[in-house]
Amino acid sequence: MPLTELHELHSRRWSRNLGLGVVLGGAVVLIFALTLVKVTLEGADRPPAALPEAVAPAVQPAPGAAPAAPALQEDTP
Amino acid sequence: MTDFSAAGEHEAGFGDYFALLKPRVMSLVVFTALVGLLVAPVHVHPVVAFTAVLCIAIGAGAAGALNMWYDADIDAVMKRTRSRPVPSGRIHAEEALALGLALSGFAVTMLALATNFLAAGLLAFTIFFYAVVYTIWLKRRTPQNIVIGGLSGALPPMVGWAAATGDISWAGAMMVALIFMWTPPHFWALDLFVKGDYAKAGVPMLTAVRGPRATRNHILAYTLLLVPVALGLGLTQVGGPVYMAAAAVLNAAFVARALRLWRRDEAAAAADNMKAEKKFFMLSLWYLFLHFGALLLQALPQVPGWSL
Repeated sequence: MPLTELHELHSRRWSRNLGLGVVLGGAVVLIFALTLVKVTLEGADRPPAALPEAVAPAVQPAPGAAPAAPALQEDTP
Repeated sequence: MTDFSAAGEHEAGFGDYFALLKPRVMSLVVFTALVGLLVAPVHVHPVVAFTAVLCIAIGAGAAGALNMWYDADIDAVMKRTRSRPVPSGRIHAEEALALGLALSGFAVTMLALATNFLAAGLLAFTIFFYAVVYTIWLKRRTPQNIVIGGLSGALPPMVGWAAATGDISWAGAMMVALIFMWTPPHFWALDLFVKGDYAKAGVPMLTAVRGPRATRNHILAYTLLLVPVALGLGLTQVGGPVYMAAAAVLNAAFVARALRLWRRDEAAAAADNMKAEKKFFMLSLWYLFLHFGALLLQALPQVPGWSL
């Protein structure tokens, strides 16, 4: 095969290989960035699972709320 | 790839494989999907948003590749499509099929992982509708092909909205309706000025089946039907006075030009080489771009909404 024909073939294959390499590299970077966002909850669709500390404070304010309510009613004319 | 049977032909470069994805269609899909995502009243992290729009674009490109696989025979006959990668021999039809299927799977899966199953499901449906319902079933069977098939091109804003909110809405549905009603006048104007290119390939486009007068009537009818849809979108949560003003102007211009097309006869059209038809087609592109641009503008916090 003449040298000139071989060279054309190589340049097309080079463009394909380069293009595919860029696409795959971009996919790796994108999936990594997406993973970081999802794992750090910046891009989370749902809130994290409830921790024990989160449950306890919800119980405490209830007895505190009862005396506060009649106090407010006395203020209004 | 190293088989010497391909030695005499033009072996495909990367750009040829990219051309399989119908880049011009992809750019419209990217824009409408992006707007659908951005006007949704939910904040989306930029990386997630970028991934979502990219997946929607790749999904649309995959559908385009599948279409190029199936329509290789008629693309070879039509002047407009003769130089596409498959009819021109640069890429084999089976490669287009493989690329279309692989990219569809990848795009839908990535969208599900990046956002939610609703958006991914809608994208899968969009690809299926374009490849199977339009390309394989309707395109060669009925002059209403592009009317029904137009749903695929209309869905991206809803996919973008679903990617952001995980839900569908009236606003999303109206964006879909806008593109859906716009598609027939857009494509039938093209049908008028490609002068029988579709007929040569045996595709039953409206002009080939019912003649140009019927096509002009249909263009006017759909353009008039488009007006309440465009204005209706302005009354949803993504609408507002700025959008309405833009829609009013654009729809008036579109109807005026459709009337002009309707009043012309074939002799007048041939006399100026379909100039009005081509201008109407160009206007249709601006019409869609500016409507969605107006929605984006309306979504900015500084721009007054309906709650004045």
